[in-house]
Amino acid sequence: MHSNSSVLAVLAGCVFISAPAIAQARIYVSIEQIQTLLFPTETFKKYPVLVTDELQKKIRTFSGVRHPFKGDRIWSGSNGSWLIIDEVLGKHEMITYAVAMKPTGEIMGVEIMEYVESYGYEIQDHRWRQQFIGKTRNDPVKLNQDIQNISGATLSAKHVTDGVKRVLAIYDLVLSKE
Amino acid sequence: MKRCKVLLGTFVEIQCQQDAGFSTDLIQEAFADAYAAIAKVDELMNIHRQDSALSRINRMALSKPVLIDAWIKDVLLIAQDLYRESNGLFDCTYQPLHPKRPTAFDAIEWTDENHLRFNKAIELNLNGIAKGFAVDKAVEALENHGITSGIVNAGGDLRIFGSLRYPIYIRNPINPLLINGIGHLKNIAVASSGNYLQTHLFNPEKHSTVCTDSSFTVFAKKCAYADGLTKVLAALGHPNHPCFNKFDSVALILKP
Repeated sequence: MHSNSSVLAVLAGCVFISAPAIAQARIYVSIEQIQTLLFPTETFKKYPVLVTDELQKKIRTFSGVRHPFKGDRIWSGSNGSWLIIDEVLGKHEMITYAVAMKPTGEIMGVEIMEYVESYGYEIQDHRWRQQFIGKTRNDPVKLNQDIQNISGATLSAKHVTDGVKRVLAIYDLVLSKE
Repeated sequence: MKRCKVLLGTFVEIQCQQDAGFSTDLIQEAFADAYAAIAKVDELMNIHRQDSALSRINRMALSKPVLIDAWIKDVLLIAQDLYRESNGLFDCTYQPLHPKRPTAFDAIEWTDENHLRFNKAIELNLNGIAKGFAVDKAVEALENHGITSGIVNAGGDLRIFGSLRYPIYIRNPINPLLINGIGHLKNIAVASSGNYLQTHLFNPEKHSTVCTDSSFTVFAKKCAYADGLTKVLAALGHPNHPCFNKFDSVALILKP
């Protein structure tokens, strides 16, 4: 299964180029998949929460996240557990994530569901780019589709951590009192 | 199939090929094991956690030999390899927060196979290598489940394994929103370092921060080596050092 070819041989033929890329949504898991991933045996029903201005303000103070919280993506499980979907603005991108919580408010898991990042265009030699496209073998170059494999990125994971904090605030302020 | 979780202070994305005969459940089990391996590395080697095995070693190894977890031992052996071959440019006893502390990887003494002590008041910091090691462990877990190809990307330290090719991009160090296509690769690990997002690079030899607008990328077989070697490349500022050949790796500097 492993080739013994050297790293240099693996890289041979690759020329370092600028590739154009545009805004890209990476969808990892759907809501249905989230439920089976995080709660394989539970059934869930929607549990919308009315987010008043006052509540919104409390949540913001608690978590530091400015992007408004939407209360219509909360589900309650048959055993009292919670599933909350939320989104935060990262450095340059929207990040949608799901938080699974025990009835006691203890976090069981956080899963990134969707991630949208935009990239600009590099100035590039158009002819060179065409040459590159011609050179790839069985795998057509999907520069505008396939930009997930980026080295050198430590992206805004911290924003998700802040987001999880505000989900905890929702539990504290609303769900724990239900 | 792909998933993404926040671990090691970054996004860890795992993507793999779903072969015929593999149910979604089987793949999810493999993913769960791969993420568990990364979480374990985080628990063992996170310097910011007082309760991590690494923090425990740092607290106790000066006064007595400490039992070393097998994975930390693996990382330390790789670190030792990198330290020797880079003539000290990779040194995980360098503490950027305490630059006056002695930097001396040689002050680690193995008292037997699984115990070590410090002969000087050093502190271990595995930040320069643990993420790459975690990627390797996740790949191992996926392979153990029979996954034939895929990619594990821990915030830019990534490894492609198996038979399929995946496209790879490197960020522009000045504008991280611009990316450079490298090509479709297989069976390779890639790691990049730079000061453009939040990492800060240090030169243990000069006891100083590396001031640079460039980014430093290394391709190698294993991600732990790729990760560690980016620090050597950043400290050097050029790719002409025998250690890159020694570890069958290719170094690349992107200048603005």
